[in-house]
Amino acid sequence: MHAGPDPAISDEPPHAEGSAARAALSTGADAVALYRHMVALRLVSARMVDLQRSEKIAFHASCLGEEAVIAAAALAARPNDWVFPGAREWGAALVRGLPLANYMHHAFGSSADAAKGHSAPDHPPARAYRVAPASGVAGAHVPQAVGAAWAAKIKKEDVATIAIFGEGASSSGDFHNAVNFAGVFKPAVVFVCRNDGRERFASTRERAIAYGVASATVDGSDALAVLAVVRAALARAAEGKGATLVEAITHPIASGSPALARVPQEAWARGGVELLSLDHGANVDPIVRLRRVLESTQREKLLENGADEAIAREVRAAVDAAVSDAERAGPPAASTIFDDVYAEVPAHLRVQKESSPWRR
Amino acid sequence: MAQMNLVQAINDALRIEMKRDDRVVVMGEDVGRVGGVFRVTAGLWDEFGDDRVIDTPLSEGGILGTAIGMALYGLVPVPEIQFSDFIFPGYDQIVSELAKMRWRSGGEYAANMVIRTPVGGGIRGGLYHSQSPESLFIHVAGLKVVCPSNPHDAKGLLLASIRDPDPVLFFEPKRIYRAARGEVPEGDYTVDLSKASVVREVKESDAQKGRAVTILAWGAMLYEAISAAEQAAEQGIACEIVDLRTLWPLDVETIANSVKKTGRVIVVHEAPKTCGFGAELVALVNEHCFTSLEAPPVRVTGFDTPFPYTLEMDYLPLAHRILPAIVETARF
Repeated sequence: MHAGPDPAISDEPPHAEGSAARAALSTGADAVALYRHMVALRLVSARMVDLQRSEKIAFHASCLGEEAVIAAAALAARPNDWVFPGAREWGAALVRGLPLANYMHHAFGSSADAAKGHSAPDHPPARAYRVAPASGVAGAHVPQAVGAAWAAKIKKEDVATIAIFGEGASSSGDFHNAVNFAGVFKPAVVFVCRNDGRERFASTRERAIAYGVASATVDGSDALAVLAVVRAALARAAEGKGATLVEAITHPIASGSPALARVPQEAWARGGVELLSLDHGANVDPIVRLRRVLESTQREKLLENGADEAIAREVRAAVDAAVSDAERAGPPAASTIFDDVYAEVPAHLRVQKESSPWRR
Repeated sequence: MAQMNLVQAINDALRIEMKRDDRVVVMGEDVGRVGGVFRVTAGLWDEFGDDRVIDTPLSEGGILGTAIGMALYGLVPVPEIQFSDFIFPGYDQIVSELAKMRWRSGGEYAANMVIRTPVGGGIRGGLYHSQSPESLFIHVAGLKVVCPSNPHDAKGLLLASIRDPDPVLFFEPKRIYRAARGEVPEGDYTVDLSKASVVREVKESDAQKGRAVTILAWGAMLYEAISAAEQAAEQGIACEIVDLRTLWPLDVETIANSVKKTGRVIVVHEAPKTCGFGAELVALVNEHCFTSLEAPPVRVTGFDTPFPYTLEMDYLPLAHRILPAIVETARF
């Protein structure tokens, strides 16, 4: 069990580049599904940025510009796999099937929020979709993803976990603990790191190599490449070869950037389609990039003309309905503060619950 | 019934539960082949193998972070932190993750696990092998905190803790790991969490004479309280001693019943005085028994300093410090 790190593993990364792997691993249907998820994340995040600015919600971790990594990692997961997102990867739960209404009730902390208004927006509970509850502490979920994959290995179940996080989290002690344990015990875990280059350090991938964990770097704006490389890492894990770290180079669109400052409300009112092309010619917007692939596919045209309008219309209607429902639902009853601290309410909490004068 | 010490009783509990429930996994630094630095897990690796008795890297944050992931998946990990002084590199995983998992997910997720860790001084361990950090965990909503004083309770409380749906910090008083011996029933039994034990009782008639004191203690200090109480008895002072066993959630009822009877209370603990668990106990006694009190509640505790190496027996609230407190409280 205590086999030391095997330096050879680092020489055997899954190949992200190479269109052969991509073609083999991604079907046209995958690509279209991925595109729809990315568009949904883009529009939801843009709307949430606006809701935060207007103080309807207290917090939003924008994923603008990084939709490809989040959507592709979540889509790569097999049905029985688990995804461990951080707060910024809330979109993973939506990709895995969490209804938008649930996400929005959670963001508003409404009476219909599954977490009863206990946690901040973008940490939605989604157990039914095998998504772990995000922590507010960057990196804290990464060793938990290792532990869950390790448990599956102990139980001899073919289940992998995917931990998604930003490069900031890869400076946390939790990340190093996680990758160290993954290097030693070789559970079926895939670390997906969004790296936008803001942190000043050598690449996250080099950190993985140091712990004897296989690694690959991928263009985080190339959704199909991310999908292919995460699937390759999962396949490798299923063969018992252990953990892989995928470093995806991303180009987030700052929610305070001029491009967005004028956009959300007005663009939303105009239908939202202009939100789907935000890279201003830099060729880094993953939605623009994937659309180009879909529109230019020779064997079949995967995206019809006007498809963006239709998808945007659908997502917009769902978001508007979810926001309006969440606003209407109002906050949970004050006494629900005491729910779920323990499996059963202990005596001291019962006293506090029963003896406190409530505001309403 | 067999005679066992604390180490043997805890080992017995782990073996019973690992046999009964294959979700239970023991993990930690040298808990496998070596059997733990205090030999608490001795023999388990031979019996249950690599997958269920796991030697981990020296990283408390890694041990606890991965154990939480195992618990989310459905195993019941029982990680050992070699000394409770070393728990702090994993403190964030306990406070921010383990304690809040159920609450932040609206009950969808829970992490059922028991963190075992030796606690307390008196073994010439110096400042990083002697501390008593229980109040740092009692303060965190969502955790249960247990500290047995004898082999019978240790076995029954550990079995109850592993089966409890909430995360439990299980503090093992290392000074009495081998010194505390006693009868331990064979096989499976549990001791209720949240039930204190009155280990030395004062008769109502004695209490009415106005020379009785309640002492609240747990772990290794229980024996110091008993020793002080025996000396106090020679001076005509009767002491009722409550062994808290489970520190949180607390059995306030047993404590209040005793203090209402005696009208006097002393809390003994090894941890520093300020914001130690004694502060909370005194506050609760005031809330529940104010009109019954005949004397101010007293805390006999470690000092508000780090834990000393050569002077540890001067730091610890041993019988020689408890006895004067008993006498003063009784005479007040």
